[in-house]
Amino acid sequence: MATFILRRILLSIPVLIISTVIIFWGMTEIADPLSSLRLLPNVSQQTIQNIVDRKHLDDPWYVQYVFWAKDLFTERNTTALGNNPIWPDLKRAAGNTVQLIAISEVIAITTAVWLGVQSAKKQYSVFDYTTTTVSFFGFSVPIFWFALMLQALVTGLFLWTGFRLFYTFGQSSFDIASQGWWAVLIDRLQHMVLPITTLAYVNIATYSRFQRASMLEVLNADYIRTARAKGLSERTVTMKHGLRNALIPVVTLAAINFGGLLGGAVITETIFAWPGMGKFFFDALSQGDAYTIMSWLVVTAIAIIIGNLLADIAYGWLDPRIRYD
Amino acid sequence: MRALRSGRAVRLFALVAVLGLVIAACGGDATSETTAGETPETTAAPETTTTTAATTTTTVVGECDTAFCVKYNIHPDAAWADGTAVTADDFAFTWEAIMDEGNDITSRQGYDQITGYEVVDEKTIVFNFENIYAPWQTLFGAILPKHELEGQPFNEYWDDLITLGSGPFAMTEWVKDERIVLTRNADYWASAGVDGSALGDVQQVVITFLEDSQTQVQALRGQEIDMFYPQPQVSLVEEVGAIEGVEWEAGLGPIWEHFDFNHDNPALQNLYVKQAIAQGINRDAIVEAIVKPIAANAEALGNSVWMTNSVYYEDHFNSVFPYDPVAAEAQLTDNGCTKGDDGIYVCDGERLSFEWATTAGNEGRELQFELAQADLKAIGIEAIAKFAPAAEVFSDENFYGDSTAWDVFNFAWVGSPDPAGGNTLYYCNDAGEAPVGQEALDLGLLNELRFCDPAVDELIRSTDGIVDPAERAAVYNEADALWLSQIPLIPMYQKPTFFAWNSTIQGPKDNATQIGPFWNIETWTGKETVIYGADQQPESMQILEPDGNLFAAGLIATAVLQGAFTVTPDFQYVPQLISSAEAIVPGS
Repeated sequence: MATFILRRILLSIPVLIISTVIIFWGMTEIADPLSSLRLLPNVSQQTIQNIVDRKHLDDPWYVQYVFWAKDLFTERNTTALGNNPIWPDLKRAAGNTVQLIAISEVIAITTAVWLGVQSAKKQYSVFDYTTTTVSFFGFSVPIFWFALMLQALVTGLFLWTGFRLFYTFGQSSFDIASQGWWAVLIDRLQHMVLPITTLAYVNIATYSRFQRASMLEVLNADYIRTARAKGLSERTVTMKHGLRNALIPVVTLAAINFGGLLGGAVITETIFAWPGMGKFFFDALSQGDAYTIMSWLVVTAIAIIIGNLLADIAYGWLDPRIRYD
Repeated sequence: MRALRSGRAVRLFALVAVLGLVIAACGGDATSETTAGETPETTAAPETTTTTAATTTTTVVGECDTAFCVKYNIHPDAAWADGTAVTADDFAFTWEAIMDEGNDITSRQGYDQITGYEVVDEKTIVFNFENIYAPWQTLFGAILPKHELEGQPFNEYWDDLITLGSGPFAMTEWVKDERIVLTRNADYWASAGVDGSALGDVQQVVITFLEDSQTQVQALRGQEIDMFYPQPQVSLVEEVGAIEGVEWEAGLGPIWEHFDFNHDNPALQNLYVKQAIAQGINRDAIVEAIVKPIAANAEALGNSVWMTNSVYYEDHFNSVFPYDPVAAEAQLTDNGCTKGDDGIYVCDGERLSFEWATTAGNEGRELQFELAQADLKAIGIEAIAKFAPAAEVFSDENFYGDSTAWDVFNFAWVGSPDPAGGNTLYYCNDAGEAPVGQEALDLGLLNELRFCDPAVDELIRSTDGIVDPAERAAVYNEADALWLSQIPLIPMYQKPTFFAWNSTIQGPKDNATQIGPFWNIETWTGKETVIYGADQQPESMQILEPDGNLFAAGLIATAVLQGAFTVTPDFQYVPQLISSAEAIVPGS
């Protein structure tokens, strides 16, 4: 197992390097870090020249890449215009996103697995049809629409009752810090509920369909019949012999999704003004800062690689027949 | 590095790999305007004296060792939040900091005309200029505290916090990605607001960051924020208007939309073709559809220098080229153009079909294109959409491109309260070098029209040496009338601004200039804490540096720092830290 992980990590390094080269080339081709400055009429030549010198913008893209890569994990990895270090902001954003996706993924996976298993066990029942309908609704509604509807609902509830159950944006209330850790915790939860609900709902819809299909396939397998013939309880048959094997597609999906989500749920975070990776990316794009975007891309790429690695490891745990040679 | 290369592979990459760039470009007007310096007005004034809300600025003939001097009489009570007096040394320090090559200053324009200064006394300073500098009131928009900044690393010290100011509020906290907190300066030196109103009782202004306009509306409706200043859209204005307990105001700022002609196109070198387009487009209908639902007092713009709300505004276009499709078509037929089978005129062998460039994803611009396209089709002229993301249309290659890049270009200039910043739009050759890496034409830096008139160039350049505001405005108007008579572009309208706030708060009033809605923050009353929903977080608070050039940083600095002058909603320069100023021309 250790050899496998090491090999995967070593293989990931050239993938990461190649992807950053391609992305860096692309960014230098399509984005000019000085474009916003050049649109200012009275910008001083010295200011522009300082940035050109600092970022080696007069050099070919591959020379710029070498300088960028050399500084990537240091304090010299800075924004184009302000020369401000990127990593502190990125680390903060990543931490905020992890909070969001960890909770939403746990909720989504547990709910979806349960729904998928129950739907499969009660195929063509009212429960199955209801779950299917709700899942298809989750597939079909645009995420931004669902998020905005949640906001409207919560706002309407507040205006109706005068009681603020949840907040529609942000991470915390400005005056909460002085009211003790309990108040801070409650306040944070009040801010997290809507983005978590949005992310979880969409993922529940997806995961539950995969889980149902996989479970149906497993429940009709010969070894399940054998298990039942052995006189095992239905719970043991379903949970131990069925579910474990049926989890592989959902684990694959969730692991890949986890990596992707760590890059930021751009729409959800932007609508709920959640200061995570998605909003970080959106802000960097709005400001046209290629260096910030590149740093985000590196973190996202690493997250996706790690997600895939975790999926591979999980396969072996779920299905001992899978060997890591 | 070039802004954009147009290979297919690059475009494919742009589409597939960086989808987000498209999202950003579609995001709204913020990325779809470019900055120039077409401007409203300076202080209104008979003779050589201009009266402002609080005091007097004067142009005098007097003692001055150089070609031009400006004397600032600092307000006797002006003080920093720590109680230290604002003095001539602070003004001198500000100039020295701006001119220090080691400091990352975005613009030194105007300051580089200053050759030195003389501290007359603690509260009086005279700056000597190399030449007459007409827009002198634009200088020293923020005075820096010498005793706080001297000896500190200038480029970093105020990255996260303006540690000391002279304004009515102090910046007390910036929790990155969450909020900036402004707290009332209990020792604020002034006894009244910039508009003469009494000081208010709002103790704290919390600036939160939420980009999405729908989220902003819901937050305002749900009283999670108390005010916001979004990019105005008709649907948003209607939504906000329907919220109980919310007041709003739409202003007309110095950002103005226009249709530019590329004079590289042979057909557009003919005045009669441009006149046909000008008279064939119902500009009033476009204003009615796009601007008036937001700002009822909007009208089609008839001047490229002064905005409609300026005392110097004169109509040089609407009355000369009124909407008249019959006359428009007659322009073509009278000049020998013939209509083809497809209904499009051909003039001198050139089919009147034009590629119309603008920023993609901007609903207003798409709508006005459709309206103009229909109007032009009716008179036998074809307009073909050529929309692209802002990064592409404003790249050097496209912006300064020939008629293969664009024929008609719709975008907006961002003006400022003095027209001098936009002068190069009219120049026949560049006054200075183009910025590093920029491939401007051999015309004025802002002149992408490939058109100029030497007489206009001369008039515009002469304004630099005219100190008297009224005389200077008259010359600008003379130049504008001459320029617009040749229709290098069609001025359209001023873009509206939109400011909405919880009606329990009294005092907010829109300031459509770059000063923004915090211009009179010291007079707000009705709530102890006001939460302002900003659509953007500053990168840094270094407002003089490139990373502090965002509107969000300027907004906060307006409340915390003060300058020699500020600008009121009617585009008047009024003193802040000074009691008076004199522009001195040496006696002969």
